[in-house]
Amino acid sequence: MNIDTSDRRRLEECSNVLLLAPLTPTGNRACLELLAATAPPEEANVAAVTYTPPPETWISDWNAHVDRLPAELSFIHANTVETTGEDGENGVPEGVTVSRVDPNQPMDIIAPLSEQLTRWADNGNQTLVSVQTLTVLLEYVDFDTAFRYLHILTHRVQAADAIGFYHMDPDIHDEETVNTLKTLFDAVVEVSDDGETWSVRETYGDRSATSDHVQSHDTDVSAPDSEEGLFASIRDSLSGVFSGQDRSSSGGVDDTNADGTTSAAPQTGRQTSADSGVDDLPDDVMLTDEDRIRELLTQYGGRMKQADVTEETDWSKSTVSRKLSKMEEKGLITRVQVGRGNLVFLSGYEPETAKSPFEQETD
Amino acid sequence: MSNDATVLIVDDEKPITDAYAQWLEDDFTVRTAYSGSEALEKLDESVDVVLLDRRMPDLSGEDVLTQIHEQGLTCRVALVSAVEPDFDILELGFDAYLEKPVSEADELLETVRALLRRSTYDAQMQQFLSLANKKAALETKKSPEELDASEEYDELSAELADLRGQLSATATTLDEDDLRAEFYDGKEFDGGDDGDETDEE
Repeated sequence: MNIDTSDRRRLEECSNVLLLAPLTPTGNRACLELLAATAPPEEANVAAVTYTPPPETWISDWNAHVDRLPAELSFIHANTVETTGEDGENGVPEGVTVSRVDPNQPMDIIAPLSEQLTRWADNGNQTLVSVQTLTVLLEYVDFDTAFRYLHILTHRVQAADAIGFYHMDPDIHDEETVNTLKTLFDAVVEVSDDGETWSVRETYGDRSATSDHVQSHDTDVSAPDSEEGLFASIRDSLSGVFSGQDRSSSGGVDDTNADGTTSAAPQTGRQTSADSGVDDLPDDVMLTDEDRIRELLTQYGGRMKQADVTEETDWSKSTVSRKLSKMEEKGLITRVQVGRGNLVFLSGYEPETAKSPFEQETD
Repeated sequence: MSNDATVLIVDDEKPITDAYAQWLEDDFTVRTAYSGSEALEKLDESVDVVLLDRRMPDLSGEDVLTQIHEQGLTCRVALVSAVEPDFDILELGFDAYLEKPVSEADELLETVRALLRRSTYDAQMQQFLSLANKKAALETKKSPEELDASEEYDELSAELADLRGQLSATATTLDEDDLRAEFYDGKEFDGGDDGDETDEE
């Protein structure tokens, strides 16, 4: 057996990918597009483990960025909060299953996921698993438990011949935490804050053979041709990802929101997260600052870094901090200190363990 | 691992203890105790699994379990009882439950093997996590060039890859009950270590 063959075999065996991407609409979009690029939706079973944004949001984001739903779609929503009252399953098409589970109990997630993977085992599609996000998962369980949980999860994914993508925001956690988690995965895909630069790195490869393909869609990238397996499909996808209407499979959905309104929709600022560009949020004079923060949070999927609030609003750090404190007093939001900064959760989206009063100001 | 494993059987009914011993002695090193206090005498670091009768005249199964925890012993404990317990055995610190009378050697063997699998997974996982922490600490401290030149880093990476394969093989043998127990253990024995104190060489 020569090196070339073993290298290739290793790439083909790659089944669990850590996706380091910002906790923003851009990062969220990267997760979805990566899934769609790995297997064509009409030939894919997707099991999505979601923590904060409910399945309805996931589906509308998917519709906006990818268009066709996967052939089979199942959610394990690790959040016991009912988001839309009695009619909780609103917006989930027929045939899509949703299990709501306790985020504090890893087995409550592993068991139904394993069952789902088994049910799909022989349907001829490629099974994909998406976990969004480890950043919030780490709020529910201690690091050791999270590490074991992820080990079992990755093991089950591999055993089922599925491919798993696990999203986390590397800026929120310290480098050592991220590096420790990397050992659980076959590969790490890192997406820059603007979503334009992607790098792929194999975790257990010979370092001399490490693939580190930084690509930007500013430059015309021709897809590498010599390799097979997951890496090739990721690389193939990179040239298409985020390039909007050039991407044949997405049919230019970027120009128009899913419901047919154009992204130039005026004044209301109510077009939901269909468009990843938060730049499109109108600086509407009718919006109070608190409305604006809530609008941002909605667009981000119910949680965002406090630093991103500062960035999006151009308010000073202390202004943002003051406004958020007030909103927190009113029970509109909850702030949670995570690693190196604060995460802001819309009320009702926060991890239950974080419901204790906010203790520490970091700004 | 299982050939070297030591099982302590505790039951005040001598014929039962001896029968269990006979079933297990081909596969494991077996110790027997006919009372709770005798069990405490025969317990030490080398015991991997304890089969513990619940109702005994001097010290009950629960009392022995409390002692095991107080001494910080890491053995796995299966509660053997004629009545199905009306409490969550995991919550009380037991790892498995066997209903009396155990009439099949296979049932006993399977329980012991399951507990040993969990021990194996637990030990491998702890080592894996500790190596992963060490590797991460090196990566944080050193530049890519330094890492390339570091023999320690190379060895760590190779060890991790190796252990990852073993861990995967072990994980294949774990069923849902094993995993539920595993996540209990995870909290009990490793809580508090956030995985970032890895400076010791």
